[in-house]
Amino acid sequence: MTDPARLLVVHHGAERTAEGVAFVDLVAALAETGERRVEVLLFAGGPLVEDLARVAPTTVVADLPRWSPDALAERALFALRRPAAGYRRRARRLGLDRWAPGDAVYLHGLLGVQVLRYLPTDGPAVVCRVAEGEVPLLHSVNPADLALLVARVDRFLPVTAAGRRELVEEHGVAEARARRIRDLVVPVDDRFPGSGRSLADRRAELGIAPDAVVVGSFGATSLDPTDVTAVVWALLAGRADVPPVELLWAAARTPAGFWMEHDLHHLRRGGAAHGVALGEELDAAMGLCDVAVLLTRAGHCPHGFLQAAASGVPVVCFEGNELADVLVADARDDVVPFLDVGAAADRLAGLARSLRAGGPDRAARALIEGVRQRYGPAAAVAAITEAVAEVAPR
Amino acid sequence: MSAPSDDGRGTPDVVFVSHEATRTGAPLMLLYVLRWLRDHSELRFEVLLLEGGAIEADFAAVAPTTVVADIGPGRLDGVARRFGAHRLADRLHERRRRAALAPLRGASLVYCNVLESLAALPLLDPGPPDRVVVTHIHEMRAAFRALAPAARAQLRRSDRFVAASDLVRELAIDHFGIDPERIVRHYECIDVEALHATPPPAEAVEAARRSCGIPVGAPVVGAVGVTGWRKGPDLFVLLADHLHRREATRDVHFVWLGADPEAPETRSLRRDVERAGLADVVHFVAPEPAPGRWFALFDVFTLTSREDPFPLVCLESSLLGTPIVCFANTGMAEFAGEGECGFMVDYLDVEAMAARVTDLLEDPDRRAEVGRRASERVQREFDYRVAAPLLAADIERWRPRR
Repeated sequence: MTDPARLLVVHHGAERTAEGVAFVDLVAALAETGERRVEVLLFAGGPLVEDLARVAPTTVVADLPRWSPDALAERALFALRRPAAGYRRRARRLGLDRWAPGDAVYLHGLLGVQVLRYLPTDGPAVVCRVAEGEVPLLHSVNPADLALLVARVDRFLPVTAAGRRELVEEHGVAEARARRIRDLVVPVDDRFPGSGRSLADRRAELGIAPDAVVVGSFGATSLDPTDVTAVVWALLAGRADVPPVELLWAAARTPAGFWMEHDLHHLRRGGAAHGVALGEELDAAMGLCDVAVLLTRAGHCPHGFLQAAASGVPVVCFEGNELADVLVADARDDVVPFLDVGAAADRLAGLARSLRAGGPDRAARALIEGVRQRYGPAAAVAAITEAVAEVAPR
Repeated sequence: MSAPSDDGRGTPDVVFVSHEATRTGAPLMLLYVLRWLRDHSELRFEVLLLEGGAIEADFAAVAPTTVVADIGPGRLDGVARRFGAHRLADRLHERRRRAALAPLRGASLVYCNVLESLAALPLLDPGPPDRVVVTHIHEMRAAFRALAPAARAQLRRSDRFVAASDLVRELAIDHFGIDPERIVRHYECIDVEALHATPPPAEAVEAARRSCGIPVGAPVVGAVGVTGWRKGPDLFVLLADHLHRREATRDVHFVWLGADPEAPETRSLRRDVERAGLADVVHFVAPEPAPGRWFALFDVFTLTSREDPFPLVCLESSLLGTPIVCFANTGMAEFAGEGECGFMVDYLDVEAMAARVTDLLEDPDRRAEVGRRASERVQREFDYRVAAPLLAADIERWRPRR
């Protein structure tokens, strides 16, 4: 009996973030299918390496010996400006030279793209997921690797329509080679990712009153949805009989972050609301919320909001967002017409009131189920397995 | 004694520095003040522009004007650059610029018209030991944050400050740490006579209306500015969306003047408008050199800026008797008041803004009354013939005596 074909799953590291935890779940689910023998290649280590090693053989590039004869020979080749030979030697050190066309490589994001430098051109087929934050591609990949990516990847699996559009329209990837898949989501853990503190402790640290309803949002890359969210918060403050509300915003250092800080400054000054800017703690942001607002113009639902929904946090969103399809009958009221900030404020006020009165449990449960079905590891495994089977038939 | 400059003119008493000569608020205000100084004072002054622009010739008509960006590289710099000696080339270019500006160095007062123009100070060094530097702050937090390090580093050299509104003065004291004793407020001003002398012909106003497909008699809510996020064009769309959902204001049209059609923000706004089903009633119009016909078309003027010191477009609109509605965190709220010359609403409260706009549209008498008061106040206080002498008196007071 021959060995089953192999699947090399490549990722940049194993940090204890929500995304990192989701990755471990994914590898475990891929291994459980038994379709291929799964191995993992990470470029950097991290606290989740042991968890990964328990589900599949795991190699960390950063842990390769630095002073072995092999390593010195590899470095000498690069110093002599013979990168192709250097990469071949690196492939041998990682055992990648033995991977055959029937095998497959799955890149879990563009940060794993450098593995393509080592793979023989007639080697295993390659499937590559393009995550939400990795668009535009040029921001995530240098031009040389991007060219390699476009030439070498057999099937792209972008999680957003924007990602697929960019691949097809700007990088000339044939439509059949780019198939959109749903993002992979796990519920927010009660432990604040990476810190070991509980979400309740973190709320207290941020000065959020225990009885306050936390209405949260975040924007890491652009003014959308910063602008609309701030308006809705301002309107929410004027609604009658709203219990104490804390606004929570997490943003990376971007123009959006500046404008949201500006807006929170004014909302606080006006006594309309309190605001907590979380800086770059994006992973934790949604776990701290009682209600989330996703008022983006884009059609896709960012990872953090999916996480929130999968954890039972009601999410108010505009019609046309993919999350609107998930908000099944019980949570349908959370979908408001595009740009209708008044309706969004009304809905938030209603949710805040009902949360204080015991919470919309039925809707939350329906939401959890809907999101987990569509965005859970099982759905991701099915999409990846199908793509791999197409490009690397056994 | 003043050293003669290359063309025989003496060293100026004052050098007015502007970051550019575009047809925007700060350069226009400076131009008005300089015209008054030319006609009514003995002050010898020159203009230094970091970059040129549409009103460069207007500056040149008032006083000798030098554009720093036009002092190009010389032959030596070019040779150095060709051989890859970029640092040397930069130094040679810098030396050329400093040589060209040598005649301005003896000025006893340098007036930097926006924070960005502070970057010119090193080019005017060394100056007289008693030289006074005045900085006119037309900016708020966003602009201060975006200020180039070269200009930021010069801020502490400024001896006096002029703030474009009380709000800007407050911000300068609280946020920039400027000594309250060293900063005075002078509101922005416009050329009332020129605007009165060239009213837009009725046909031009009608042509503007037709170009947007606005039916005769349909009310028009206007706004003017670039489509950058600071000006809040997205909030203007939310305002339109809110009004359009009501039966009573469904026939209102919304015109945003000054939208560069190629700007990414404009494209994004157009997508919003189409998706929200507002494409028939929300119109983004490209900037025009003589925008008077659009101002005449507006029934109510809205200022949706997230921050704005004291925009001239509001004064121009008010002069025509069109009342403004703005957010309370802009300098314009000091002018509008609570129904005196316009209305202010809480920041971001587009529902309140929509309610004010609706009130004004539904009550033509009140609109006319508020508009009349606004127009009278602009003529009384914000014409440069009134405002420039006050600023000139301060400049004279601050200038070192020799």
